[in-house]
Amino acid sequence: MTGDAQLTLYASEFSGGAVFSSTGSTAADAIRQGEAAQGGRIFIGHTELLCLDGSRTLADVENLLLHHGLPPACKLLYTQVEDCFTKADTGAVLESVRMAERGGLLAVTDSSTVLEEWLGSRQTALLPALSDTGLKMVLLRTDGECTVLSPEAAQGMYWLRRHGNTDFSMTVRMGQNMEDVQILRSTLRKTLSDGKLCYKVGVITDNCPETVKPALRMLISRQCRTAVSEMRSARADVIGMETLAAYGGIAFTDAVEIGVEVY
Amino acid sequence: MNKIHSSQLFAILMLSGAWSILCIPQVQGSAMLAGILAALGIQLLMSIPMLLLVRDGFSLSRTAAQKKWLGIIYLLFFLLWGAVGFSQLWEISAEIELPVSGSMAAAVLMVITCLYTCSLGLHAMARSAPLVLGILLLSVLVLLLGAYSRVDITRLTPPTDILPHTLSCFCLGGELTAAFVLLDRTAGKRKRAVLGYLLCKAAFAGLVCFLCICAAGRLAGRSPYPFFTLTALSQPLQSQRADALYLLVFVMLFVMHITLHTGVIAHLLHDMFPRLRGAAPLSLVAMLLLSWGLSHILPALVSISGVLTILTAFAIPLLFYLNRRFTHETKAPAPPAPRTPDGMRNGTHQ
Repeated sequence: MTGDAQLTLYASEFSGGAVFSSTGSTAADAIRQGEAAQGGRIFIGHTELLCLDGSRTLADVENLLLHHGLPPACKLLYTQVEDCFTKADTGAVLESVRMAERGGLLAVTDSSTVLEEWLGSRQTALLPALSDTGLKMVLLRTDGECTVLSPEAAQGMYWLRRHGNTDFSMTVRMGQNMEDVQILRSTLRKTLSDGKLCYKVGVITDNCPETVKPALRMLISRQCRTAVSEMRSARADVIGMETLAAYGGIAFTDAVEIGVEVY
Repeated sequence: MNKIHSSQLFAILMLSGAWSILCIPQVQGSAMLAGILAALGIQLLMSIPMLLLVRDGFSLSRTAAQKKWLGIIYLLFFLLWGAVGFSQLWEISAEIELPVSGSMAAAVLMVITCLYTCSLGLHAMARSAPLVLGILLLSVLVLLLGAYSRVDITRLTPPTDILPHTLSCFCLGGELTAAFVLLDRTAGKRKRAVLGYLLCKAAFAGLVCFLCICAAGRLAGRSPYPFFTLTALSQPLQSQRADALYLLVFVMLFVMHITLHTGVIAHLLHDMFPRLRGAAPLSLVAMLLLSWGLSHILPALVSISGVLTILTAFAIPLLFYLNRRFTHETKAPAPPAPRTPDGMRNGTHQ
């Protein structure tokens, strides 16, 4: 979807074929116009990937999710919408996003998760973005400003957000050597302690050597701190910090404690 | 009227109560969760006089046949409660996506279905209630499967200002009055059926509220009927959406809810006016007219229903119970005279 004053919807079926487009004042209006042009209903209940080019289009996703059956597990991607169909294979892009999430490189960014953040007081969203060098993570604000996160911050966002069971390999630098550690599962607990926000990350590994655990702990902790720092610099909140801060009566900008346990 | 079994009564009450849960207008924070549980706790206490009264052999329908004013109060309550149900259906149909052309078409189809089911009578509904309850349990399982991965406990903040939510949830609990009407026609463990219904309704309501708060989050807070937002988010299978199951449950619960009320009205009228025919369809039409006439004051209707619930499910049973107790004590036989040592009582030989 693309547009500011008028919204243009581009769509392509799973089986390939021509890309058709329709324009309307809202996403629902664009769908209605498209149905009239195509001569048939447009069913988006199995949509797997929705590309957006700005905050205007993201605001319409709520209506699509609640009233037009957009799946809550539909992936969102920030990109110039034409690029999706002209410069990239959408199926390959979708699989890239899924594999990056499974591999711990990207945080989960399906439509329901992104909307939950967007409806918060800061109205910001974390989205994957397609670039020439691959997938990156961006923070999108309601004024349209977009901040690209560093790879370390993107990895930190993975630990600080909701995700399911994981099973991927991480590389930890031990002096001159590089050690691979198999991560089986990670957990996240958000609490308030002594007037501070605490994010406790728990990581379950597959026989991680005791000598490697401190380095892994430091690596994850650094990634999380970088993520929080870059997120605050962008005046965004995509990890539920503001809700927790309001509950504890502390400010959003107060210190955050990151704790990492490796098992 | 032949008796229904207590397990059927439990199923009927539970299905009608589940409809009320689906119609919760807003879930904003854990205050609603606490309010629902508090309201059901109050209803649990309110049910005590009713259960004691029925245990003593009281029959509301037979009493209403003798005291017509009593029957009219209960008839008005069930008509009003059914009208509220139709108004809720109309409002919800306008908000959710139904696979028919327009909410009016959906409402007409459901009314026709209700007309058919209420003409079959209460026993047919009682026999089908356990089956529908099974379908409801299946849909709860699907709901849990789709929503549990999205649960974020930190969204559950301590409740504040529970009272308004307690009152609003209390007003959605007209099933106790229906239980009072049906208890004397129920065989088996009646007390267990009513208490079981209240506990299971509390569990279902608590689960729905919990998932709306912790799984649906802010999306549920912005929706007029958060249960349907939750169902939109709870899609456990990628290849098959579960909307059809939730829609099926929605329709079935509405039909059971309305059929229960038309059934108890017919049951009361049968004893009050034995020559009257077609009581159930007539009451359905009356509910529709009442709903159409009073739809613009739905919030006030719900509040009035709450007051009438207190009257019909608690105050009247309590009055009858106390009256029976008091009357039983004043008419109790005089205690026997004490015996003299030679076995004679007051000059008489035993």
